[in-house]
Formats: sequence, structure tokens, C-alpha cells
Amino acid sequence: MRKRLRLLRYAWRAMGLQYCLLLCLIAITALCVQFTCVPPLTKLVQYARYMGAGLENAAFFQANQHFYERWSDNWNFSRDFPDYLEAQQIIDGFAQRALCRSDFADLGANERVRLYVCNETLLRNLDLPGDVSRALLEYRERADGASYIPLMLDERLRATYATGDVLEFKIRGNDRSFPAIVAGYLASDYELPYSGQSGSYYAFINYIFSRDTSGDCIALCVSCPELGLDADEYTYSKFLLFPPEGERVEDAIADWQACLLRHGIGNVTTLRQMRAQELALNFTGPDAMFGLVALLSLALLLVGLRGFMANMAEKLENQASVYRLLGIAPGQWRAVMLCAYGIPVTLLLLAAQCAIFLLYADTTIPYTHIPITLVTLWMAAALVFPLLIKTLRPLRPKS
Amino acid sequence: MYPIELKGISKVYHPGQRWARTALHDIHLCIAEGEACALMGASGSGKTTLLKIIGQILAPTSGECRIHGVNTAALSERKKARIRNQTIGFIFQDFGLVEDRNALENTAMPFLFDPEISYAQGKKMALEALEQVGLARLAKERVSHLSGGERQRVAIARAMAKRHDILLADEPTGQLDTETALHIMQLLQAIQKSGTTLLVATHNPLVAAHCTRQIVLKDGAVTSDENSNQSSR
Repeated sequence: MRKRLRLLRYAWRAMGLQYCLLLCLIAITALCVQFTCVPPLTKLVQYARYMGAGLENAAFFQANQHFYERWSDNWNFSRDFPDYLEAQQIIDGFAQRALCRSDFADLGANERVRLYVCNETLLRNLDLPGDVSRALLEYRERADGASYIPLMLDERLRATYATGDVLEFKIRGNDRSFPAIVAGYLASDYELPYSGQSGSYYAFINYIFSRDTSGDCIALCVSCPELGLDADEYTYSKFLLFPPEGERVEDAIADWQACLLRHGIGNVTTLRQMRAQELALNFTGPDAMFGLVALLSLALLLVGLRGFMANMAEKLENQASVYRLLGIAPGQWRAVMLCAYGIPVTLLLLAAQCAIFLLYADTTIPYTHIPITLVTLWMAAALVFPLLIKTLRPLRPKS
Repeated sequence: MYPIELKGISKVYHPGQRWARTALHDIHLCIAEGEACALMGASGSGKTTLLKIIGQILAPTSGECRIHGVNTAALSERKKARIRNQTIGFIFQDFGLVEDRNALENTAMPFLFDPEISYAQGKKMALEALEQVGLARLAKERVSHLSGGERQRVAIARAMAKRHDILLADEPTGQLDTETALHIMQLLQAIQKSGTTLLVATHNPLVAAHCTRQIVLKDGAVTSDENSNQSSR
């Protein structure tokens, strides 16, 4: 055993320190690349996902400033800007529109769930219990005649609340409570309830589309970071606008834009336009420089890596030649190389993965890990395999 | 039984290719125990190839190579490695040392692959060998800090420490001045006199003169084999 450890030490000492530094450099570059290159890539994937969900036929109201709800703690800041309700009223004036929104509610015992209050037209088509007379635009505007506000609950609460259950709920930041009835469930593929990136949102969009909107266009107030919207729970900068069913968003968008122009509070764009703008920002925006620096350092690293690996492989190859003369078997050397270089690279890989999981624990979506895992795996392979192949060459039987 | 026995050994590099080259052609040799042989010939005559075949580093294209009567063609790489560790010592013109290790570690290195002798014991034997070649005081010195002659003596000490039956030396004095070369040859002779079979590849007649038998190769074939004023081939 001691002999094997000594052999391992000899193999590692040949280039160990430099190898360590190289691994650190790779880790740093990988992180830089992760921060600068992966988000645009992730965004592209998400756009594709939302397009698939039907948002290609939707428009986004983009405000010039953020809007704050009157009842939020940020009320004081909203005086200088058109507030949320003002924007809502303007959008309310769009032809054939109906507004609905999503939010979170407390369901007692500190259970926070995603709450959806849908518009009247939609609610008429929901399979609600009979005592739900009508639905409301927002809880503050609840008509006296309404018995309950329908709730779409998080799928994880299915076991706790059945459809038709009546609940008392209150919106966070507001002391008032309201009677509500469980109207259905939305699937969630993410642990945290407060995440616009989760499957719940995707399911929600699909849910809306699965209902007959009876000619209404729909406006959703959304809080969705991956679409460039604010994640802050009381701050909204965008409305999601759907045209009446069967109509194309391009046909409605001109009217909407003209309406908004009069008020000068923002603009309406489609998802496709937003994507084009985002792509352009990757090259012209303030963060573009970081991305370019990361790419440049990656290129330099690759060039350096090539030279370093050649040097390292040569040294280890010489060592292997000497060991061969002295009687090492190919299998023994293979084991030494794997232990000296394979294990550290594997550990680095695991550490990188752990770091990524920790860094993105609260916001990331699962497929963010795919590109970085591929990059890390590729780097590990680039580090280990050429080394193994080249250094094993002197030990292969020669004919 | 001869320690080294070659029967009809031929070696063709890149067989079947347009650039195929015959390095050895039908070599028959028997080298007796304790014999000191000089393999002579011009560059490219096949000396190194022959040493590599005897040392189990290269496989011959045809023919039989027997070490202590064992035909090595049928042996696995692991068994060949064992033969190299237990039976055959190597000394090369470029020394074949691990540059970033010290002289003692280099000398004791064969014991890393020897399951029968512990490394601590091997280290003692290595130190004795270094004393014999006059390098005990430099035992802890990195070989990259040593001169050419000192490095070659470390390589010889490594071969001596393991007390191999066969010692193969490829141009052991090629990079050394005349005085150091003479000293190295005296060391090799001392090893041979202790019963080791010595095979030295050289193109230097002065080095060959220290051996009891001179085998001359030309274009991969033996052209002369002289032993104590008697030509056997």
C-alpha cells in the first residue's frame, strides 16, 4: 500500500501543483461563463417554452416605470409615477378586454399558496360549485353579490383541500380576509411557492388557454423574472395581454399601442419582439462586456490548456517509460493515473455542481444545470482523457 | 540453459506499409551467464532494437526470444513487466531517470514494483549501491542537479541495487567524457564479475574492448561474433 501511495505521490508531484492551479483557473472561468453566458441561453430555452405554451399569440405591456399597488408598502414611491391601478384602468379601456391577475395568499397555518383570480368570462366556464355566483376582477372590487372568490390551488395542496372547499384567505400585506372556494389545482414542479419560473406558471398559461374566453381578450398581471419582469411581490411592470380567441395578437396590438401612446406610460410588444431585443442586448447591453471577457478568457484558457497538457503529458510519458523499464504493469500505471488525476477532476466536478446548486438554489430552473454540466464534463474529459491516452502509450505492448 | 537465447529474430517496423523497414534479420545468438558482450555497429544497424527485444520492450516480428529458457512471446504484459523488474536491468545513454526525484529514490525505484522486497529494505540496498558507485553523499540530491556522469552512475546503482541477472546497457557512455566513460565501464565490469550477464550496445571500440565478446551488427544482421580470439559465426 505504501509503495502504491509513493507511486501516486511521484505521479502527482510531476505536475500536481500546476495541475491544481489549472483546475482552479478552469473553475473560475467556468463560473464566469456560467454567469455571463448561461442566462441568455436559459432565456432562449424559456422563450421557446413560453412560445410552446401559447404566448406567441400574446403581447406584453412594458411600463416606462414600475407600478406599485396602492396597498403595498411602496405606496410612497408611487406618487411620482402612474400607479398600478392607473395602468390597469387604461388597459381596462382596451376593446373587448378583461383583466385577471395572479397573486399569493395565506391559507392559515402559514401555508402560502399561489392564488389565481380569474376574470368573469373565464369563471363562467369553470367547473365551479353552484354557489359561486360570479367572479371578480380583483378582490377589492368584489361585488356584494359574490359569494366566493374562486381559487386555483397549488397541486401539493390537493390532499389538504378538495374542490369546492370553502376557505378564508387573505392577501399578504392586507389585514382583510375573504371567503374563497377551491376551484381547481395547478401543478408545480418547483419547491418554492414564490417563483414565476415554476411549472405552475406554465400550467397556468395552459389553463387559461384551455378555457373558452368567449371573445374576450385577457390581460394578466404577471411577475416573472425570466421575462424581464420584477420578482418583487408588490411590484409589477408588465401586463400580459391576450387577444380575443381566434384573433392574432398582431391585429390587436396596434390599437393597444395607440391607446397607451396617449398616456405615455409604456409600450406593448410581442414575445418575439422581446426576444429579439434581449438577443441584441447580449451584444450591446452593459453586461455584454463581461460576456465577451468570459469568452476571451475561455479561449485563452483553452489555448493554455493545450500547451500545459502537452507539457504535462510529456513529463508523465517519460515517467511511464522509466517505470516500464523498471517493471510496472500497464494496469498499475492506469490505476496510478486515475487516482492522481481522475479523482481530483471528479471531485472538482462534484464541487462545481454543488456550487451551482447552492448558487441557484432559490431561482434556477432544472435545465440551467444542463449546459454548465456539459461544459464541466467536457473540461474534465479534456483534462483527463488525453493525459491517460498519451501517458499509457509507452506502456502499451509494442509490436 | 542460457540467460539470453535468440532464435531467428527478425524485426520489421511498420510491416505491410510502404515505409516498412527491416531493423533485424534472422538473428541467432546465445549469451552465457556472466558473459560481457559488446553489441557493435553503426547507427541504424539494429543494436537498440535488439536490446529492446531482449528487454521485452519490443516484440519481434518473428523468431523466439528466451530469457532463462522461457519463451517470452507467449507471456502477458504483466509477466513481461515482472521479468523486467526481477531479471533485467537497463542503462541508457539518456539515463532513464525520473528527473524530479532524488538519487536515492531513483535507485530504489525498482523496489516499488517488487512485491517480494519491502521499500524500506530496497532503500537500504539502494544506498549500498550508491556507496559502491561513490554517490552516497549525493543520495538526497535531485538527479536534475547532477552531472551526466553522476546521473549515469545513479542509473548503474539502480541496476546494481536490484542485482539483476541480466544488465542491458545502450550506449552507456555516449554522453560522457573519456575519463568518466572509463570509470563507468569499470563499474559495469565489476557488476559483470559478480555474475551478471552484461550486454552493451556501443559504437565505441574502447568501450567494446572491456567486454569478452564482441558482436558486430550491420543492416540488422550479425556480421561478426568474436569471443576470446575465436570467431563463432
